[in-house]
Amino acid sequence: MDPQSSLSPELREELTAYLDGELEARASQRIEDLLAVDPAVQDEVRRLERAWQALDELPRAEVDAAFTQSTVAMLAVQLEEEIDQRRATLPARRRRQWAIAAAVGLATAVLGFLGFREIVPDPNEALVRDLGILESIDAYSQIGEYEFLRLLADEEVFAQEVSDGQ
Amino acid sequence: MITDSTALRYELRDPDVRLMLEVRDDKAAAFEELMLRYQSRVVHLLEHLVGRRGQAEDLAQDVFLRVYRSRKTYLPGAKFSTWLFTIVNNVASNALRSRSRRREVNLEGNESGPMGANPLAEMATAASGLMPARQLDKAEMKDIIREALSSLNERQRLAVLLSKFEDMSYADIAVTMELSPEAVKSLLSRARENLREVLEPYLANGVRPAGVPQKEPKIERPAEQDAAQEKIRTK
Repeated sequence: MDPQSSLSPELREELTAYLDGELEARASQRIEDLLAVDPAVQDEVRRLERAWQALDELPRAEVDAAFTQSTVAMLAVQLEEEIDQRRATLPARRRRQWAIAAAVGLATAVLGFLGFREIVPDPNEALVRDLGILESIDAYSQIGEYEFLRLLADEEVFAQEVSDGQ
Repeated sequence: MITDSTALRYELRDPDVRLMLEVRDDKAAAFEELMLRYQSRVVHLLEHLVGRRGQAEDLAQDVFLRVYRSRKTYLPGAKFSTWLFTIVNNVASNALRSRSRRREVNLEGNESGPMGANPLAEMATAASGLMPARQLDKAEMKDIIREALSSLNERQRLAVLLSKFEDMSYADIAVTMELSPEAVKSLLSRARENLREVLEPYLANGVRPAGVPQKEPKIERPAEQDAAQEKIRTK
């Protein structure tokens, strides 16, 4: 049986973090205390470190100046394409901007008109409302007094006229 | 959301962030300088993530093009290297995803390459390699270590590469991989454990993992034998 298999996953995580220098001082001290007395932990740390250091044998990729030049060249091509695209879309964009501006202007005008009407009353409205009075203004003028009209109303003269008219 | 104070902090601390801000202001020389600083590191990382040098270089170019394209919206919310490796991670993940899709289409899922479902069980020790006393061949060792690395899953491999070769902290790896630092701790622990399991037999006893073919030893043939063979061929 692998002697390291007795170590709990939590302890293994702590050991890795210890080796990576990611433990805080107190946790780090706890691992060092354990390392001082536990051969299984010592063995695990030694094996982990050996495997980790073996990765140093991997060759580091090096790229030459040609890589940089070809990337910059690709970038230049792409930038030119972007500029061309922007140029191509410019008239359409301008037209769109003009259409949006015209729509906004029209909406503002309509809303302004409605608002103005709401605030300032129409003088013709009063004329339309009083049209009946205006049409009979000569008769009303002959009567002259409001109290006389009230008397006629009390006598139901108008009601009789209305029923006669029907 | 990156606040102004965060951006300022990284700008003051990280010279590469300052370079990227110059790139944002359309200074071409700054971009070239960043490329020179990072191109080998990016290719190295990608080579181990996708497994092929040629593809790694193509993807590295894609990474730098993306960096340049996003220059106008760049805001320093992390170290430049952390931001850059996040892009590398995305590009590599996309490449591996599209590769596995192609594999599904072309081979109907029958292939099991080094990036596929290649469990650690496949790396079980080969009995034929039991030669404790033999000298470790450097080239063979590189192959075995490369194989051990490729036996890790994609996330473990990236975490190992960032930790080992980029010397990144758990916090920075967490940002790059969009994980919590605790998750990175677990991920790296399992990754290192897997590497230990695969490499230990070889490092301790010279036992090759099954996935790595034994290199043909160079046999010194006597000159007379070569001459005799040459005679036979010319007859």
